[in-house]
Amino acid sequence: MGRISAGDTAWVLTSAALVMLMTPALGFFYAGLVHRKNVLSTLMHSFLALCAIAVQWVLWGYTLAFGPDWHHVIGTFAWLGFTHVGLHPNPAYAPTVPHLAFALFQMMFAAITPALITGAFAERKRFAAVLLFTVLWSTVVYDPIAHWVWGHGGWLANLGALDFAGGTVVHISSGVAALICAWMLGPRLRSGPHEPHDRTMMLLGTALCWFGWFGFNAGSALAANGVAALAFINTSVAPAMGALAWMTLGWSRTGMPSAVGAAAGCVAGLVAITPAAGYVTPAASIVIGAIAAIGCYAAVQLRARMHIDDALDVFPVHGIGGTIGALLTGVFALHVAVAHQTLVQCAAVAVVWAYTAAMTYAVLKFVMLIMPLRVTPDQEHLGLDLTQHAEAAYQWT
Amino acid sequence: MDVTIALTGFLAILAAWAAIGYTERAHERSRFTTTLPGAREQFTDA
Repeated sequence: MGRISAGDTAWVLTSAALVMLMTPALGFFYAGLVHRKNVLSTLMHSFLALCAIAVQWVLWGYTLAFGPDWHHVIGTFAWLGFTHVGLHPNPAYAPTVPHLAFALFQMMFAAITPALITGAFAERKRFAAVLLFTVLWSTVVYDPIAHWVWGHGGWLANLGALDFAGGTVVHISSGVAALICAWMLGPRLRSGPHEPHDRTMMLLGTALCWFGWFGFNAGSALAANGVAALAFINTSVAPAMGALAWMTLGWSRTGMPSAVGAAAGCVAGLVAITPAAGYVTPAASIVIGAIAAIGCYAAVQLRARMHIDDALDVFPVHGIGGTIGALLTGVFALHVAVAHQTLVQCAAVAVVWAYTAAMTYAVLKFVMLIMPLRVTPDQEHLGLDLTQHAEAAYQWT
Repeated sequence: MDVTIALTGFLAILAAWAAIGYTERAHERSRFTTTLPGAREQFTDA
């Protein structure tokens, strides 16, 4: 049994609070990008994902993801309801912090992942369907993938796949799920350009996400040490470079430096540096941020030409950004054989893509047996705030 | 014991979400008309 470090424990608990902030911040990022009639509903998608997964995680999510291994694919139910998750460290995960602190930190990752997907079906998905989908998806997609990559005995971990803070577990899974959701729901009825209703809200949400991301990445060191410092600096420069690259690319093409573009580039950089944060040098993280911004920018342009209405570009930014980050981790990680590691990263990415796509489709089909995924056309015209919540974000006169 | 009760409570909430969604399919509600009069006029053309 490990000895508890006060410094490590304080850092992990603080990081958990930082990551917690990311989910409502994501809500504000998304809410700024939607129509004024769908602001509250968009915020509610993130806020309720946090609430639902907090409970799910304690009851069965954590044990499925991190519980005692069953054939390298899933955790057993031995830790159902946090049974045996106590005040002492679990050396398999974090030898210097209480097991409860580690489980809490991981809870926040589990909560934000389905919240990320909500951007794909914004402005048209029925609220009850969102809630049911969130809990089911987290159970059958997030929890197994987290076990494969981060769980003690997980098969991708055994294979040697590197994912410092969730490039595959969080971003590829949510990005690919977003693509499937957008495809199955169909496009929004309102045609033409979908203008963000409040870019200041979007930028504030981005800034708060970035702030929380320090806990996400640097906290994944699970100790207050040099690796945490490395992850922290990388989490500062990769998104900065991402924002600069995306904004400049857009500027050269449209003639204007877009605030939305800068924010999207920042998020692309954050996503891509997530799997690499504790493994690469700060200079490499600048390169990763730039490549991610260019790749995600191209993916957004491509997505715009397809008839898949991923409303807030979750797939291009998180799916493609996460893939770029996971692959570049193999290229830039220190102390690894580059060719072998890149092959392992490719295998992990391919498996997570395929599993997520298939299981997300199955979960949506299951929810459709119970209720329609979409609101009615009339409700969509009137907006989800009024028709799903009977409340409005703003007072209209 | 506490785990069983907590589990039952959360599963009940999940079942309630499913039941509400199922019911909505048959009876689409439109509470906005009573809660916020005038909403339809504001958003129909938006």
